[in-house]
Amino acid sequence: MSSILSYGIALPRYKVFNSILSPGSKGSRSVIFSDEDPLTLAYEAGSRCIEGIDPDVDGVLFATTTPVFNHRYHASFLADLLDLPEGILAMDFSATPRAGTDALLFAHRMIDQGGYKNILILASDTAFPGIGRERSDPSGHAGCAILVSEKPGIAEIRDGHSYSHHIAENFEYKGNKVKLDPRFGKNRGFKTAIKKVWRSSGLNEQDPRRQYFLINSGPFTKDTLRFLAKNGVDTGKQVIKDRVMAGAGYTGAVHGLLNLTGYLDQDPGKQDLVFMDYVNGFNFFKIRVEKEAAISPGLNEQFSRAFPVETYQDYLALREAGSFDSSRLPGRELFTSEMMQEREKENLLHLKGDQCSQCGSVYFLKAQRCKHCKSEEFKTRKLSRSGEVFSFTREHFFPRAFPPVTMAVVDLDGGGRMTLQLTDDLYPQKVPKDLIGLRVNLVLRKMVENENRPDYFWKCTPAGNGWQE
Amino acid sequence: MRNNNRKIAIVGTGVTPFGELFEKGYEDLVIDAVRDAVNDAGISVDEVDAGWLSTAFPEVGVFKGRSGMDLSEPLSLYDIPVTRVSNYCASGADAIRNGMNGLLSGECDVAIAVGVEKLRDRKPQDSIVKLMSDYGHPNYQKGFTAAGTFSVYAQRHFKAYGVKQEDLARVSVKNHHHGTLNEKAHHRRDLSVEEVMRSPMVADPLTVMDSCPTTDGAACVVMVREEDAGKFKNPVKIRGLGLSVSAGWDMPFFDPNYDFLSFRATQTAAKEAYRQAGISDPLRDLDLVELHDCFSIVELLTYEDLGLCGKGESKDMIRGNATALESEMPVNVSGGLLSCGHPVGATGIRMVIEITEHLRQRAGSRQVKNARTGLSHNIGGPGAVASVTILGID
Repeated sequence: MSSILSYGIALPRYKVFNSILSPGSKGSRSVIFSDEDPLTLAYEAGSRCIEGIDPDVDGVLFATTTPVFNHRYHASFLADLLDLPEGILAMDFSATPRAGTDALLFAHRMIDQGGYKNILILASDTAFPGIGRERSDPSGHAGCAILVSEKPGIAEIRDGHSYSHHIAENFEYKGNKVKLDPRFGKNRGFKTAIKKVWRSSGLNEQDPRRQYFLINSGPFTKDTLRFLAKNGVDTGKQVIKDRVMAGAGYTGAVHGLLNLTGYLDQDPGKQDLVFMDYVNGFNFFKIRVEKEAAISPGLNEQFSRAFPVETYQDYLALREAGSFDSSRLPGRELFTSEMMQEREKENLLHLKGDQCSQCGSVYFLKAQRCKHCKSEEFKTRKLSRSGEVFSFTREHFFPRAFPPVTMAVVDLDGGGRMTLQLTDDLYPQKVPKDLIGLRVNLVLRKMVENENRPDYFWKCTPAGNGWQE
Repeated sequence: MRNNNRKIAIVGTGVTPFGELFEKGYEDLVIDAVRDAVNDAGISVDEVDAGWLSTAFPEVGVFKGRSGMDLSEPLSLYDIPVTRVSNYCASGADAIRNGMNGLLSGECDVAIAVGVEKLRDRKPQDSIVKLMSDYGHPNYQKGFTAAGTFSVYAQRHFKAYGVKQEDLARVSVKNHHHGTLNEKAHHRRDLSVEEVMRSPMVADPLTVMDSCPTTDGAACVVMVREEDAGKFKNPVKIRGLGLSVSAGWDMPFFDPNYDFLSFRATQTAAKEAYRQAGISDPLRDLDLVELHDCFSIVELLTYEDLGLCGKGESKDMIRGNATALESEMPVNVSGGLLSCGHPVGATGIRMVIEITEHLRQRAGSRQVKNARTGLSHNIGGPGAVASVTILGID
């Protein structure tokens, strides 16, 4: 057995109403800002997941269908960003939207069999539908993290299995979206697999009315419901609704995990849960929810504070800026340095500052002698990710996808000062004219991109509902 | 004990026109400024026995001025020591300081300090902005241009002292008016407060007309020890020079104790220069001031830092027109950086020359009457380096 010790959810700050993408459609989907990518979403979810717990993490698994790198482990990259120790287990799960629950299954098994204590699962997806295909492809963007542990937690994973089937109904080949040859029954692979799941998991011998069902089977949702109903499940009461789809869209490798954590976030009370994820075979879990688990910012909170993208044109601008070089400076090589970031990461990425032992001044920039009292004794101190704007300006001539760049001098709660770009400001006219005193949170975003590497650094975004009415 | 009386005199000056000098290359500017200066001093170039070349940003200019060689080569001025000086926008003033120290040490008898910057061969976006956008630390201050770094000060001034955007505009209006009297200024046109405020925003609250242009230009002074100055016509004495590095490039924006209301570098440089020159009341003792108005807000801050008024009172000075040409304390009668433009390495030397010409009573239509003592000030980087030079005649 293993348990879910904590989790974190990270939706981008922007959403686009589906009616803008395809008139008449309902709901909305989340969409990344120009400086977000799968790594920033996964980082945000992961840091929310482990914040305040300080677990002894010995494994990181990352799942996505939209990898940033090839031949490089995102899990290792993220472990480093999250200040987790070197030498731990780090693996990527990719290629299909089942990757998220593949990681969950793997983590459960690794802990169940002993040898691992705490495995952090990170999942994020930032797929965009083809232009003009927004109605048929509801892709949305999200990040999710789950900390699977040997210690008891919010929910216990009592069983986890995977059931493969060789028939794949929807997949991509050479960039084409392929649907199964119609000579086969469209749902043949699904049907075979679900029967197998039902039998080998022993559900056929138990009273299915004692459990709740969380299903993530995409185009086979109706087939799944029909199957469950036939096998004694009250699908009206026992099946947990997909809460992610209507607000965030289909979030690929994150979708199953996001629905699971989004459900835990509602504090459902003690119960038994059957969690099924189907893509070309099933992942299947039996989970016992043990205790209340609401977090902040939870799924609903993040839905409600999302800024809407107002037009299809803005959506296209956002997506172009996000999927290509966000610096928008073709032919210009912006300076970044892997070595510099490696050397300075404790400070730049892990936000460890120096506090003067004598006068208490806290410095983000490395301090050898205190600027204030000239003392040479410092203590390392983790800086806060929230603060207040002390001064600011809007730079209209600094190159950026969405000018102007707002620069904010931010006094961090508990000490330290940083000067940062404001982000998530797609509509500068909505940003208040005077920003002094604005509460902000620090978020890790893409700072500079060139042909060698994305450079991640802190920016600030308005706390809470920001400048929304 | 630091040298209380640096006995150095300026005996020759040369300034090229400042502007878009498409017909002149870096070398042409060197030749023009140095020839004018040595001719003014009445000596031949070959009598110069040490030189200091100030070019702040070769990499965003024409890649010239990376060493003193770029002064020697166009003039065929070989076999003497020539050093390149770079200290942000205080580079020119620092070249003068180095020349003074060379003379005082006895290394040389006739020194030149030459400032040259050739920025207009590139688009403005390619020159100074590129320093911040393409180069530099990938994270610290990413997003700032030079204007933004000073706008942060303006926003705090608004908050702390009730300074208004109109007050910034008034600085630009005054200096542009002065600039109409300077035939070598980059922009020679009167502006209204409305025009300044309506011009495109660069970095809130600073507009294009609150910002100095990037400019081509060069300036040169010939300096000797005071005991040798008798041989020359119209020598002007350097009575005090303070140079202070009081902040870093990045630190002001990450220092939790900083209030963005003053430049400590200016205050300490001024204190040292006043001490050397024996100035106790700058408002009384100075007849004119050239200060570093790269952006209009900097002029207001500098009134306070130089002690021309109390803390928070700079807005009253500008509102009361107390720093215009015909007033009690004329500031930037050349037109300042706002009107003359800012060829970075040349600016500090151009300003010292401006004071020199007033003290020699040959500043033409903008002459400050009976000027006997003047001050030139530069600030470099985001408040990192400042230089204050005080010049006088007996």
